[in-house]
Amino acid sequence: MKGIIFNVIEEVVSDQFGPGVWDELLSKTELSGIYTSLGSYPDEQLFDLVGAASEMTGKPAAELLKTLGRGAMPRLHGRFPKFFEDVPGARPFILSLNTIIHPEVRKLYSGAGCPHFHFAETASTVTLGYNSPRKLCHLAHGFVLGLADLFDETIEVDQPVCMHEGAPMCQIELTWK
Amino acid sequence: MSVEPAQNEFQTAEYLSKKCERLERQLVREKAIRLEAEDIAEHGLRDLFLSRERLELLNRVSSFANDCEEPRDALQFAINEICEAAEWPVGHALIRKGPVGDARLEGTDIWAAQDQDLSFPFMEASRTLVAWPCASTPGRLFLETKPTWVTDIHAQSGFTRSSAAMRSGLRSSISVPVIMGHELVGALEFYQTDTVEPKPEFLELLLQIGIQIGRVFKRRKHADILRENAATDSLTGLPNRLAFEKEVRDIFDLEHQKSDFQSALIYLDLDGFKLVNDTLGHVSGDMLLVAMAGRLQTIVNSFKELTWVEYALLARIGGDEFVIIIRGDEIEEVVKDMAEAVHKCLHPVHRIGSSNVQAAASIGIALNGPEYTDPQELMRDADVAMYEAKSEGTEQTVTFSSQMRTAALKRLDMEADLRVAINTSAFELHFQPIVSLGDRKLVGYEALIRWQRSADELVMPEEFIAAAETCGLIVPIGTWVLREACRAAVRFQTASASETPLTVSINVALQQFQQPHFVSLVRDILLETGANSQWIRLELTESAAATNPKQAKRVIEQLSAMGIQVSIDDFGTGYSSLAHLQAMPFNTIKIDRSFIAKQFENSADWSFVAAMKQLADSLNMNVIVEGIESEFQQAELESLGCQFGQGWLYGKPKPESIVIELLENS
Repeated sequence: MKGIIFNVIEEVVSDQFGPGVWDELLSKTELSGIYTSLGSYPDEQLFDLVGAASEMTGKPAAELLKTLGRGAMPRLHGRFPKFFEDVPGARPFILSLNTIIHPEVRKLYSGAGCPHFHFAETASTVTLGYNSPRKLCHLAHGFVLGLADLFDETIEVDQPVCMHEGAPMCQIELTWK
Repeated sequence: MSVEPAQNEFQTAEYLSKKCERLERQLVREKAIRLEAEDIAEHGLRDLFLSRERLELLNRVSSFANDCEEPRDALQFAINEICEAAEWPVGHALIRKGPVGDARLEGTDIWAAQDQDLSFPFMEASRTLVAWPCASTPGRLFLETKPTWVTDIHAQSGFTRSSAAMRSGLRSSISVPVIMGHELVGALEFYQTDTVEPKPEFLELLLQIGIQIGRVFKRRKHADILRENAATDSLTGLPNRLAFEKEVRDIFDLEHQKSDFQSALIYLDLDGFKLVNDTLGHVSGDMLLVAMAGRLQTIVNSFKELTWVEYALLARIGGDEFVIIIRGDEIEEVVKDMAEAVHKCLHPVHRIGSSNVQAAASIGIALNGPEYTDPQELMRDADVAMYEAKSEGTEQTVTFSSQMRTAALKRLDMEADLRVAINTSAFELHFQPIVSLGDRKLVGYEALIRWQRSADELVMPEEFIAAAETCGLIVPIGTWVLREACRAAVRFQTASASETPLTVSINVALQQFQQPHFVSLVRDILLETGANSQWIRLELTESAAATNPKQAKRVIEQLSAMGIQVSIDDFGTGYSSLAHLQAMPFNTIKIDRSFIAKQFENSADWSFVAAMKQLADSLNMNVIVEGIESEFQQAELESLGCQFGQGWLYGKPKPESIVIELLENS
C-alpha cells in the first residue's frame, strides 16, 4: 500500500475523531507511523490501524472504511487537482479510473498496485466489478460517496455480490438519483 | 500568604505556552516541507517513469525487429505494443504499394483493437483503404515523414472512413511513417476516442519505432534480391522457385508444341509446420526442412531411375512448400505412386535436438494438358489441390479438377458473406446437453454456432469456421459467441429448477485466445451479461495451449482465478505435448469423438480412452467424452470412470428456445 493512502487517512482520522487519535492508534498497533507518500508499506498495517480504530470506536471496520474513503476524497482532490480538472461529474471520473486516473497514479508512484475495475453501464447506473486481493470494496464504496459530495450528486451505493462473502469478484452498483 | 502565583511560575507558564505555539508552528512548517519535498520527488519520479516506459517500449520493438524477418510480423508486434502502452483503442498498419509516381499506402489485416465488436466497421473500412499521397493522413506521410496528429478526424477533408470511425466512437488519430532510408514503406495509424495530443517525446518515440520497423523492410528487400539472384535455396541446397519455374516452362513449352502431355506437378506443404516453429523454434524448424528435403530427394532420385520416367525435379519454393515436376509414361499413375511414396518417406520420426517430430504433408497434383496456356496456371492449380488436400485432414493427396476452382471461388464468396453476416449478426447458437455419466443428470450444455446464411439455409460450423479462421474473421465471430452464450447461460439458470447451476461450454479459437485483451474481454462480457463465472466453461484446442505455452498458461491461470472452468477440447487429435499439458491449469479434458466412434463392438479396443482417463486422473482433471451414440458406449465409458458425456444418446443440439422449454417443463 502506498504511503499517500496512509497520509490521507491520517488526515481524515485527525479531522473526524480528534487530533490525538492517530497517535493513539499508532501506539495501540505498535506501528512507527513513518509514512511518506513515496514509500510502500505492508497492507497489513492499514488493516491493523482500521482494526484498532474499530475497537476504539465500536464501529465495524466496513463502516469505518466507508467513512475514511468518503473523507479522503476532498483531500485527494486538494492534493491532485489535475485529476479532477475538466471532469464534469462522478460518473465520467469513475469510468476513467482504469484508463486515466490509475495509469497516472502509477506514473507518480511506481509499483502502485491500483485495482482494475470492470464496468457495466445503463443510463442511470454503473456496476463496478472489483476483484483486488486487498478486498477493499468498502473503501471504494466510501470513495464513491466522497465523489458524490465533491460533484454535488446523489449516488446510491449497493453491493449485492461481495468477495467478503466468498464471491470471486465484488459487484458495486451505483445508482444516480 | 499571597494567593498570587510567584512571578517565576507565571514566566514558566507563559514560556511553556509560547514554546508550545512555536513547536506547533514548526510542526506545520515541517509538514509543509515534507509535502513539498514529496511533490518535487513525485514530479521527478513521474518524468523518470515516463521516459523509462518509452525506452522500454522502444527496446521491445527494436529487439523484436532485430530478430524478425517478416515485416508484417514486425508491424503487428509494434501495433500491439504501442496500443497497449499508450492505451489506444485501435491500431492498424498500411503497406506501401506501387512504384514511385504511382505510390500509395494500402490497408492490411494487421490491426489491434481493444473492443473488437465496436471497432469492426472501422477495421473493415481500413482493410480495403487505399491512401494516395497528399490525400488525408496517412497519405500525407508521403510528403512529410514524421508522426502526424489529427485532433478531429471528422473535420479532415478527404477522410473516407469518417462514418465507420464515427460508429466506432473514434475522434482523433496519429499516423506514423515506417521509413527505409528516406523512402516511406508503410505506416502505422492509431485512433483514439479522446482528443488529448500526445507529448512531443512520445511522437519522437513513434518516429524511432517507424525507423526500426523500416530496417526489417530493408533486410527483407536485400534477402529477396539475394534469393532472386540465386538459383538454389540456401537452406536445403535444392533449386529455388526461380530455377524451378524455368524448368517447368521448358517442359511446358515442349509439351504444348508437340501436344504430348505427360507431365504432372506435385505441390507439397508440411502439415502443422508453423506449430513446430512456434513450439521448438525456428532453428529446429529449419533442421526439419533440411531433413525433409533429403528424404524427398531420395524419393525423386528413385523415380528418376525408373525407365518409364523421363524427368523429375524437386525444388523448395517457400517456407515449408516443396514442388516436384515429373514427366513420364502413364503419368497419372506414376504421380500418384510418387505422392504415396512421399507420404511414406515422412513417416519415420525426425529427431530434432532433443525432440521427436512426426512430419506429415498435404499434396496437391495438377496434370499438364491442352487447357493450360501458362505454366503458372499449372502451379496455381496444384496449389489449389494442395489446399483441398489440407482441408481433408493431414497426409492427404488430391488431384486438381475443374470443380475445385469453382470451390475456391465459393470460398471467396463465403468470406464476403461472412463479413456481411458479422455486421448483421446472422448467427445463432444451438445447445447440446452434457450429462454426468453415472446418473445421466444434466450438468450443462455446449454452445454450438449456426449461420443463417439465407432464409432457408442454416450452415453448420464445419462448413465455415475453417474459412473464418483463414481470413481472421473468427475473432469477431468468437466474441459474438462468447457474449450470446453468456446471455443464454443466465436464461438457463432462470429456467432451470435444478439447485446445481448448469454450465455452458464455449469454444474458443486459437486466434481469439491469443488476442492481447482476451481475459479482460471475458471479464467485461461476464459483467455485462450478469453471467456467473462458475457457469462458464471455455474449451480450448490443443494448439491454443501449445502455441506460446507461457502466455497460454498465464491466460488460463487468470481465467481460472476468475472462477471460469477451462477445458482442453478434441484431446488426442492434435499436436500434444504432455509437458505442456501438465503445466497448464486445465480442469477438464474433452476426449474427441473419433476415439469412441469405432467402439461399437464388444471386442472394441478401449485402451486409448482408458489411457487418456488415467492421464486425466494423474493430472487431477475431469473427463468429458464426445460423440456418445449408444448404450454400449455409455456403459463402457462409465465403467472406465469417465465423469461426463455428450452425444446423440442424450440429445442433439437444439435452439435456445427449445432448451428453455425443456428446462421449464422438467
